[in-house]
Amino acid sequence: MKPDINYLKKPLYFDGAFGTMLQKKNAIGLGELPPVLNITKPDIIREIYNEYVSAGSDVVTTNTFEANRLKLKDSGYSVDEIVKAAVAIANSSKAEYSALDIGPTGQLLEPMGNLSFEEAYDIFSEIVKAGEDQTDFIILETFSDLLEIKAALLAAKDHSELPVIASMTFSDDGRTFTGTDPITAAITLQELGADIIGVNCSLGPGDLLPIVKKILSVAQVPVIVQANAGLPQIIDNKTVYTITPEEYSDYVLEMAQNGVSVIGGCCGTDPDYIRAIKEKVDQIKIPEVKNKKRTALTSSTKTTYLDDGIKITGERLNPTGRDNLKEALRAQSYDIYIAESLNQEREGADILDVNVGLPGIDEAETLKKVVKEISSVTSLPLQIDTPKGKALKEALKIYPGIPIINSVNGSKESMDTVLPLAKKYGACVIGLLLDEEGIPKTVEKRLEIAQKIIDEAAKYGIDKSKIIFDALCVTASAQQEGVMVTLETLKRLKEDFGVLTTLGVSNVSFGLPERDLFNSVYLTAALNSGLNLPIVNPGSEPIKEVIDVYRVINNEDRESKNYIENYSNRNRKIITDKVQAEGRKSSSKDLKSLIIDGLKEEAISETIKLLETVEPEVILNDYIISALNEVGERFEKGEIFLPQLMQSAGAVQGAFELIKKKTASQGLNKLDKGKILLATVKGDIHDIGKNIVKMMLENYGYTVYDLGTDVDAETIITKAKELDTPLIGLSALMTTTVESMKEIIEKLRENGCDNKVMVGGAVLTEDYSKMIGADCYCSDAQASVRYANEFFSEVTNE
Amino acid sequence: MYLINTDYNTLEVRPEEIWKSLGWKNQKVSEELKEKTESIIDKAKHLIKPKSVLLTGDLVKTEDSLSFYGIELGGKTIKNFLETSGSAALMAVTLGIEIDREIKRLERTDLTSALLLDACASLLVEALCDKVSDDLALEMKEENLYTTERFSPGYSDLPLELQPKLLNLLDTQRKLGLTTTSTNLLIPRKSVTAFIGIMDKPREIRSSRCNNCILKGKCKYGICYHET
Repeated sequence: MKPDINYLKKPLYFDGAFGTMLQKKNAIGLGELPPVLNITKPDIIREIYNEYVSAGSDVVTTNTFEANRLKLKDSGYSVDEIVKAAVAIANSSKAEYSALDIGPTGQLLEPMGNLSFEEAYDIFSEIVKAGEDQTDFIILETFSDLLEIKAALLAAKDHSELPVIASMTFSDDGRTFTGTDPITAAITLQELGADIIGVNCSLGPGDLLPIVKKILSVAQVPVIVQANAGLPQIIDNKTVYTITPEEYSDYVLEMAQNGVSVIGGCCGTDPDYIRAIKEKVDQIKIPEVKNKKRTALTSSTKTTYLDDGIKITGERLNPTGRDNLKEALRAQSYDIYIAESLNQEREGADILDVNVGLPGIDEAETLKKVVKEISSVTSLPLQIDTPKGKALKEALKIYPGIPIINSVNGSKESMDTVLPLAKKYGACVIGLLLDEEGIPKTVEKRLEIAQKIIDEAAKYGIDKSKIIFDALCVTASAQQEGVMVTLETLKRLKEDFGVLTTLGVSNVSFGLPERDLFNSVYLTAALNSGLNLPIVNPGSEPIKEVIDVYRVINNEDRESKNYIENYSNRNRKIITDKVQAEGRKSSSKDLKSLIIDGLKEEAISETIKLLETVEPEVILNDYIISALNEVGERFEKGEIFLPQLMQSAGAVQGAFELIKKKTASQGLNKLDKGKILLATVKGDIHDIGKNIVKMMLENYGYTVYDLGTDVDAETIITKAKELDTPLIGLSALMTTTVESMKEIIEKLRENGCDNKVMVGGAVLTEDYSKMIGADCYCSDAQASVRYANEFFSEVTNE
Repeated sequence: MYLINTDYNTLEVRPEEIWKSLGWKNQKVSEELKEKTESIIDKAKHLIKPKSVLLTGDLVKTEDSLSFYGIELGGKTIKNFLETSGSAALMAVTLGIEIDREIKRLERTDLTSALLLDACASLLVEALCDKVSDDLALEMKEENLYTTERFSPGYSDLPLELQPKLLNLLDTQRKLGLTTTSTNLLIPRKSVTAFIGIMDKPREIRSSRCNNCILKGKCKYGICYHET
């Protein structure tokens, strides 16, 4: 009989440490793989289970924590063999229930590591499939990466009907090693469908208490705790855990009194601990954990509640009307997306809308990459903005948290596609008030669509608190009579349904002058009509002002703290900025010297000035390239060193952007001096060197396509052909990955690609680069510029 | 024997050291770069979460093999390196993932700062290694034992493929959050594993071999254990 975990009338006791017991019984040496003992020493494992059962454990966990294909690689056994053996032992013990134990892979997922989400999912699926039919629970434990446990949780849910326990481990700073706090972990895991959530390993039970209380404060499902018996200490050359069963069980009792109902032990515990716990906890009635359900979004490091005030959704990660983002998408080089994410975060955005829609690109692949990269650098939750089901699914899968989906509408097709995905990935979803027949003209009709979406979502078990309705902003210059309908809709959505609302505010002013002014007045009206999540440009001062004031008015900015802080000395600040700006303008240096001195801001001001009178191409050649050449020369002579060279290069970047904008507005494309493909090779994840090369090459006017790190030969060949880049730059920092470089060059040649290849990286030498068939060895970034210059001038001269 | 230390907040690094690691040869440095470097050091100190694990144990030597807790240490150099050591310590240290993230962020917004922070973190992890080594040396001295320098997988012919086994032995994923990639790079990036030999008496320095060594000019130890 399966335990009725949703209505636990009595606590459920798991077993304690396994490794500790194996060591006590001298059954295993350090560094040996415990799961192999399922085959070699099944009796000892059964004996341990039975000792735990005698002490009071209801559930024993299978000895499969490390039984994944990465860790078993050299063991001589398959995952299936080991898992099946382990499950059989657990089931032959005296325990009432068994739980299939799954631990982390031992590798970190992309983009911080290089294990792909898909492979992680596959690794976990293999374990689940091998063991699920003979066990009662699946327990995912000791995870510290939220994305990795998400992969495991999805694998468990997709391949079994069993209740899944998701338990993470926290460090002494109260976060997991990858930076996830307990509340974020708890919310994410339960929204993803975990049946029991909690914490194990980590610290002793006393130090875990604050973490456990945080989890209990948001839990909607039962909570599990399996603490260590304190931190290990060395006494007489032996590892000793210092917390006694007596002390340990006191803490656990306190946890149970707070609502923890699933209890076991981790490192250092043994049957005595379980016995002591059971003795105490059996005496009490564990209170049911009741928390108000709140609408929350998570990133891997932060929870953002949507019900406690205005949240700004940053609109700028959208290629519509933005040439530099379009260009980045076509070039598959997403740095500018990432920089814009960080800018918007700094400017005060609470959520980032991410849209990569552009005709002619693979939206699923692109969105996945962009979401992966952005979510690894920002702490803000993302709003995944795509009309395409496949792209949406790919992005939802690899997003390490609870995002917003933008969007579903009232059409059957949209609801059938989006709502199941929202349910599966625990996401909030924006409901657009339109359907097959378009945007209704009247408020009533729009509300009917809202009702339709709410009803349909309910069928999937999605509560209306997770639907954020978009009242649909219309453009005043085109549909003036519709502007008020939108505002009225906002009001009625609040009154009739009590739901959250959002609005793409900036659309209203399209085609009108002074858009910031227009937008800010409209925003004020919309906020007053009940708008919760304005989608705006957080960098716009008038918009920020409206929101800052409104946050005081609606009692969200308590005691006007934030407002006073930001606006008290405002006039003074404006004056200082002005003085500085004027001082800058009167700078006696010309652009060339400013670049040589690495003065970025000044170089930008000077470029703006120059552009009024001088042709962009002239600025590029006479000032920028000339400065870069001089700096490059000084670098090569050893008069300056790398950071100084880079400061000059950095000063050029801003100036270059302005020049590009100008030429683009003139419809010219004279600046493109040639296309270059860059990549850090397969197996290697070092990218600073490559990025330096990229910046330098771009400054000289080359179009650089950056494929990123860990790139295999196939991708390079495909992209080199597709993007038609006659020059390829490869970077490798490790002796081992230089091998991949060799392989890439060989495969390029086998495929008849005659692209020139320049290589660089710490371990490379001139000789070695010749040996692997490279056309040029670049000892530093300047050398790659020199080679590119030579190469492209030859090409042009031919 | 395990030692787990988290109290390493005294790690120091100076701007000049960072510059030197980036090729500085006493060129004149602008005030701006000086300030930038100082603020980067400050930032680094707030971002790192230094952690370390150390395990000592006997070395098992046969005619042609050397092993530590059943892990075979391949390559000739480590055998020379540990020639006079009866036991050894294996250490793993890390600065944590947060500094990796910040370097990644800076790479997109201010590459010079990214480079400086990366270099700074490399020096900090080296300083952390020194601290762990020094502590071990002090402790050993009390027992009249001596320690060697550090020797890491990937150096000379000690294969990088050892990394997962070493991490597994030290249980670093659980203790430090330290993992490897499929190509045996350590993640978080600013992490090190290394062996330190433990000897009954201090060892003579054998520098005569250096002239013919393949690592000549690249060797960071100044003491040679390499087979010529």
